[in-house]
Amino acid sequence: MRKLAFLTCLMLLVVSFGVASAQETLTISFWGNVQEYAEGNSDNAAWEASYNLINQWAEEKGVAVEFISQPIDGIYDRIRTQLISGTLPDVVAMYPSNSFLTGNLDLLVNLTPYMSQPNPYGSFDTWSEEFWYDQSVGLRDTAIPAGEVYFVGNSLPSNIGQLVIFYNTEVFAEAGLERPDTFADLLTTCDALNAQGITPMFNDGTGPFFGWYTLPIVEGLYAPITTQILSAWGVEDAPFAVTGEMLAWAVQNGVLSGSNEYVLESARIMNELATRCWNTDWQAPDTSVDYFLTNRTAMTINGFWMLGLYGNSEDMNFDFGTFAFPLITEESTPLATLPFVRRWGGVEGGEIGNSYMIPATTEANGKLDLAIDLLQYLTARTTNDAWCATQPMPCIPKDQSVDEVVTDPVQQTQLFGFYNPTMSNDTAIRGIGDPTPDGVFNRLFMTYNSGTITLEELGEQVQTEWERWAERAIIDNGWDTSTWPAAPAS
Amino acid sequence: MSNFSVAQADLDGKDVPARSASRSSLLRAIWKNRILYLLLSPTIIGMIVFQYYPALTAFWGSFHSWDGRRARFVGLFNYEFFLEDPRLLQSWVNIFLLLIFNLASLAMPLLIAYLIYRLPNAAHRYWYRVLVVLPIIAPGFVFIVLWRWLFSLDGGINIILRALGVDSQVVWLGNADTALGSIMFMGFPWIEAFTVLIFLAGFIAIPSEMLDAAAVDGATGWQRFFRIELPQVQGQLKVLVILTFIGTVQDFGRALFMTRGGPGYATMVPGLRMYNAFTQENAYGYASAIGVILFIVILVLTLINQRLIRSTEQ
Amino acid sequence: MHTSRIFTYISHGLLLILIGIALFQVALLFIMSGKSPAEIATNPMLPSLPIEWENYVTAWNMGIRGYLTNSIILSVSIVFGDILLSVIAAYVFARYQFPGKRLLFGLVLALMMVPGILTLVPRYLLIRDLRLLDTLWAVILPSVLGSNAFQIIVLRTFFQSLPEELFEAARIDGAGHRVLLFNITLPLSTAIISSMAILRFNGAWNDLIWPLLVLNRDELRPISVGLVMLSSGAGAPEIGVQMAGSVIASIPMIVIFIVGMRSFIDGLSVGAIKL
Repeated sequence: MRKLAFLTCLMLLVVSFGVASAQETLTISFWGNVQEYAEGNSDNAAWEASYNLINQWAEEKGVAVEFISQPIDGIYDRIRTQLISGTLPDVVAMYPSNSFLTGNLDLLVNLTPYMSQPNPYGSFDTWSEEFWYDQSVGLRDTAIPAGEVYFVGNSLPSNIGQLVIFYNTEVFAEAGLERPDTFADLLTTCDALNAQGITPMFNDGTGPFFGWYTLPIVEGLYAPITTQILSAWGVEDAPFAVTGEMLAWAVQNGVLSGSNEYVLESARIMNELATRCWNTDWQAPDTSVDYFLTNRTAMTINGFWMLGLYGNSEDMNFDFGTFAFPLITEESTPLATLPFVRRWGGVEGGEIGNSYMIPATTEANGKLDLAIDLLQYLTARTTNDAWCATQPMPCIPKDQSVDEVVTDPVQQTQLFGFYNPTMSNDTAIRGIGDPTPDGVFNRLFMTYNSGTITLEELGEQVQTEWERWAERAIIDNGWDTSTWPAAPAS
Repeated sequence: MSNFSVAQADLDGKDVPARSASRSSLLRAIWKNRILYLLLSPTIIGMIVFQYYPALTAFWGSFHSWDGRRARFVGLFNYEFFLEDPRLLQSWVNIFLLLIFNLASLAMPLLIAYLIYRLPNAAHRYWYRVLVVLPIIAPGFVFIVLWRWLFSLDGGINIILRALGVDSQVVWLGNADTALGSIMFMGFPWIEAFTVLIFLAGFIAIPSEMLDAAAVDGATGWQRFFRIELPQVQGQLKVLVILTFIGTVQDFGRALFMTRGGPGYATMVPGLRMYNAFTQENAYGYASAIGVILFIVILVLTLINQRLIRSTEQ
Repeated sequence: MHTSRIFTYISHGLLLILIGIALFQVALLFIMSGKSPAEIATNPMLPSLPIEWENYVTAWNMGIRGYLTNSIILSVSIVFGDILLSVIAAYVFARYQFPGKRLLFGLVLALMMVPGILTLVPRYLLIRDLRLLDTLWAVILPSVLGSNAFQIIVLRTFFQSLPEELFEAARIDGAGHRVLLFNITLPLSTAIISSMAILRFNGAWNDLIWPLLVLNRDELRPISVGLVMLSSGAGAPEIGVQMAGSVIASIPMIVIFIVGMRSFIDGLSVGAIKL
């Protein structure tokens, strides 16, 4: 018993020592496993570079930095619990997510006032000019009020798409296939591969891939619905995100519904992609292997970070190229009347990716100035260039083409998808699509794809779930429906 | 996991003679036993602080629209919303099927225990028990990784089937018709060490005179098993049944890690709805309401079980 | 007991097949831990050479040693505190009559039915308000205090089965609670107590969600968290490395298995768990 008491005292001592020494340090909650970044052997060049930059800052500034690894499993649950409990570290490095920011922005430091001030590490008049593009565009993805900045981060200073289709150039050449340009081309390419016994494309219906494939389709096809919502809400300075409140309004007023032709058409087109292109086990694939790397499929969807990983992998025994997920044209559906825009990437590419936020508690702890200083250091143009130089993508200024910078044809093929077609500021409107957090639409799509329900039944069931969602969202968020716009005339 | 019959006696007050005593003698009895209360206090206070207080907070939250920060009273809305869920029936049917299956699969540990018990050689009996317990060394999550792989298109089960000449192209977890069955099959042959040892304890405790008497009467092996040995482990069986009730109704781990309740809603269970409400929707009030309903279901099942047991005893 | 020879052979056959299937799942853990990704893709289930020791090196270099130390500190403290309190409470519930016993034991019983996830967030807020976040106490306290209903119930049943004469005799000799508990009850109950302790150790060792939430600092995190870190990188997960990490993580359980197996089996074989 005495020993226990002694141990208790010892532990209390250790704890109090920890508290006392915390005065000198800045704590940072960091995405993934910090140890991997420290050893320089991580798969994630983007975060590894950020980690190194922070250490540089700490050394220059004479500040001790304590990194807190956040394993990616369940990271948003933990950060949210800690945010609402006021127990987050001084700075949080992460990808912003609607899943916990809605209703909790008052718990973050609003960085907007700092944006118009100069960044001491930069060379421009204001901090916001340090960014290659207007970073608030990207942050609208997370339904944050327009113009308000809560996150800043590093970005690739080029017009790139973040997510592209990787394809096995050797398999394509043997099958006599060209890189497809349109969605219809893509489907016939899949048919040709299937005819030769090659599984065309990998999808994991239980993971993020599912959304990566389907969001460009949904956001493109829903464009008329989006326009209707934004005009009813009087939003003019598009691009802008459709908020949850707008979606609830759209559901209650029949603008977004399970019987809407655009909604049903998106399911039908997704189904064509699924049936003609995806691996037959897409609803539950073997997640312990990379289907593309092990030659199980000729294509896969992935991000620019995979360039480095595939390029360096010992198991990679073929050449690969990339192309952008093709846009849906009238060739595929008569409903594709509005010009489709690419969802992924573009101006906000890296800016919404490697981002940092400061919890309001940091101000109360007297560390706000230090935290701001770190963020300014990390996002100054020169620092960003240094960050960019470590990425698998070359840093290409937006007015230059990739072929001017990269001359190696193999590399040009590998990078093709990220630079073609060129981006514009007209990115797809964010936030449109299935509003339910559980992804009801995708769940029911699985059932529809396996032939258990018809397209009409899918629409009816989606409608029921959307109405339920809207009813509860209004109550949970305390939205004042009396201030909502009138129902649109049909 | 408990001896519930003893608990029942307590709840009925059979062994509490002080029930009709006057107030002053009650106080005296309390004072006399103060040391006992002192000994119990860390446990009871710990339970109140770390279990009951959080549980009551959740109960309170179930009547609110509550996101962990702000709470607004909404009456029974969360309960109504859950009970009006169009997928409610399917998720309860799933849990019911899982329950039936989990109860039926108790036969495997029972069989293993019986076979071990009937072995003539004591050393053999010991070593089989060691082998049964051995799997506990592996971290639990490894089995999830393993079974996900086993069920995949080119995974272990299809490899074995193909080796046996069946050209199986079934994606076991990706097909609405096979997903729930696969989740049940997971862990085959379902011989959990704890359960086996409990059954075995019951068999070992059977008085040998009973078996000798049966042998004299010329009972066959089957008669002996069903008339004498099985009734003698009824006590163990009942505990394990209650534990299976509690475990199955609360469980969502398999549905979450193996299929996320899918494909579609094929393996959705109420517990996973609760988990999703917590983690994806930040709807703590709604999640709490589901939790309270699960608690009530378990309570009712346990009480029914108690009643049945008491009536069979009488 | 008379068992025919043919029945014995059949029994051996069935036992070996069924237990063999269960053990093969554990064996796969070891087999896969020695395979490269390429080898796993082609021959996942059968042992192969050369053994990819690199997997173990990679896993070990992920800081597993620190995680192991933390896990040992946590699990040992939890088992010690939990079993101590459970034994005391079970002893009181088993051997004494006192006003309110019904109610208090009812409190213990009802805990078995509360879904764990329900109490997660309120408990986190409580730990925060007690200023215990980022200390090992944040894991130890809630695991020791109030999560031992099962142990209390099992031990109580066992203690009730001990003959009253022993206690009577000791009381006549003037023995107090301490002697009755430590000198009479405990020596008769080592087997059941060690089974409870091993079960509890196993539970504490595998606990993941709670430590991940309350322990932010890497130097405090247990091995269950470490294993998640191992499988948490971007890009292709290397199942071999994960399995190697799991093998390393199971070493303490293997040691406990070897040392405590007999008590564990004996403890669960005394028949305390029944209705």
